Amino acid sequence: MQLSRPPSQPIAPAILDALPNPPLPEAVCPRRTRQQLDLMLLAIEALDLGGAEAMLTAAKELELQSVIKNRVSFWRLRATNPLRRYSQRRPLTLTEAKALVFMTCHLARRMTVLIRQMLLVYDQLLEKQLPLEQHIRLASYLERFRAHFRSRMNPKRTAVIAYNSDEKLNQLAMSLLGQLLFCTGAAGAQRFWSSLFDGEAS
Amino acid sequence: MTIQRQYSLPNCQLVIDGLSQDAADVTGRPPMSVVTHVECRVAGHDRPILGGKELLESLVKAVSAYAQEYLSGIPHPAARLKHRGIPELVQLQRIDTNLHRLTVQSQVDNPTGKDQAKLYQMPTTPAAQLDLTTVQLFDMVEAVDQFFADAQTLPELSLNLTPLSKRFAAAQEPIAKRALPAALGLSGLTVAAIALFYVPNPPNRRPQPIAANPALNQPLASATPSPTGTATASPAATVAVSPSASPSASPATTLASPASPESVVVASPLVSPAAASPAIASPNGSQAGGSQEIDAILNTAPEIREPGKLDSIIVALQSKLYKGWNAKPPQSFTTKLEYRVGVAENGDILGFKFANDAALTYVKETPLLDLRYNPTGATPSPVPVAQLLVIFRPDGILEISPWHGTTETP
Repeated sequence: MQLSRPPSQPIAPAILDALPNPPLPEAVCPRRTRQQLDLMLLAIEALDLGGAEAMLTAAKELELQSVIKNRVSFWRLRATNPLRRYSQRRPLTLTEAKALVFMTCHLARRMTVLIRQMLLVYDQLLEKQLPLEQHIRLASYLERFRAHFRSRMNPKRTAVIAYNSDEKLNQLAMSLLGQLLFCTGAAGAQRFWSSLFDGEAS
Repeated sequence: MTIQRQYSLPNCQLVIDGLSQDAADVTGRPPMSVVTHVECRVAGHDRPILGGKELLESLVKAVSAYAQEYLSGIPHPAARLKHRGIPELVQLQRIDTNLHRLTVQSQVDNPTGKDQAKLYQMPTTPAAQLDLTTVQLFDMVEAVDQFFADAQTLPELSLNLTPLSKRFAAAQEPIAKRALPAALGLSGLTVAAIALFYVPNPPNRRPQPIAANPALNQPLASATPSPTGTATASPAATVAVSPSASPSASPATTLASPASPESVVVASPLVSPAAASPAIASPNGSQAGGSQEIDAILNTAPEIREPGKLDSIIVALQSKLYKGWNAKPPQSFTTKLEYRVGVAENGDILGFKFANDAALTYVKETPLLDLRYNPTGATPSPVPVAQLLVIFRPDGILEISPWHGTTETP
């Protein structure tokens, strides 16, 4: 039996070529990129109860299995976030980052209506100076996000200490929600990808 | 032929009127190449933004750049400025976490011709100012993206996204904050330099040769006179030149078997001052290094023990020392000066050690320093050395005898 390609060298899925390689000094993701990618996925998990499962399904749908093989390898990619409790000291390659970008945009697009609705509600509540707990869906998103963030991020990190109050974590959650909305657009993946390397390009 | 293109989203509608130069192509969707009128309506704002091609170009550029700024959090200069610091016709600025202010610099009613170009150059008050929520902003970005994606409308305008370079990220922090680490480092260096200026130079210590002490200490460690030894005390009042003479004036010099010089037990006060405190051996700085060389010579060099050779060496040394001593002014010391002297076969004094305290104090009154042979090489070659006890007596008499006693010729 002949193998069409050696199994040890997975070829990057063609979908990833849609994103250009940014002009970086090294071909690995900078710190902020890794952090932002993981936080965006964290926000998706907080939005969707079955978010973690949906991510693995999304990897299959997008045919990204060669990059994201299973639950463990997916966790290892996300744990390159330096803020994590069990942060992995491995680099995140551009191919892996592209896969995470597509996954984020894919999942965000599915929840476009929900994201829009929650952002509108947030604006209305702020305008009327009502507590955010008024809206059950928004409140549960914020609560889950705070719980996820606190359980997974290393509380000794300065960047994590900065989010020491519910209010600050809510703000982070809302800004991530807004960023997720931008990922749902026609050029969402390109915009998100390009923004990940802002201030890092050489 | 006039064409209108519409990009509609819940909160934003972008309408572009234009002309197609390719008038012949009436089938399908002809490409729009000239813009005549642009209209952008945002829900909740009555007045639309109106303009021509310049407005459209500026709008898509600013919106695109601002979307990137929103996603990354790093200010994008293209959202506000054209090249060379000229403010952009359309600007976007963040005024709150969820509010974004879109400013259009001048009202352009007449979208065609030169009047419009003039209007841009005139500094005018903002013609339109719209505060957009995040969702409204997103809809505007989406309208722009759909326009970019439409290859049949102004194909020369396309989405061009590039990450910002490092210098823009650096510009985020105020100068004071960026200069702080450098200033701290510099001031720290200055303080350290000033502090270290007052610290004296550390003394230059040379390593002590390890071989210097054990041979001397060994006899001291077993300082009990061997009962088998032949202790001889010669009350010689005159110069003792005989090789058979034992070290004179040494009350407790014990001689062990001559065959094993290492086991010689010297329990005399002759050695103890020098051995216990080697520092005595250096009356001044110039002799500090010399003392170590002497130690090396006395301890490592092969020793001359043949009575015949010792005899001739002693005679030669005696005449040399007498000559030198007579040239010196009359001595002032009142006690005997005892020295352990290493002499080469030709009579050169290779080095000497002080065997009592007085010897150190009055060393300048003896001719030893003047007669000492200064080796020129870095390491003196291990020539055979005769070790002699030299005593300068206050009454002007010189006593010389072998340091370790002599072998009685059988």
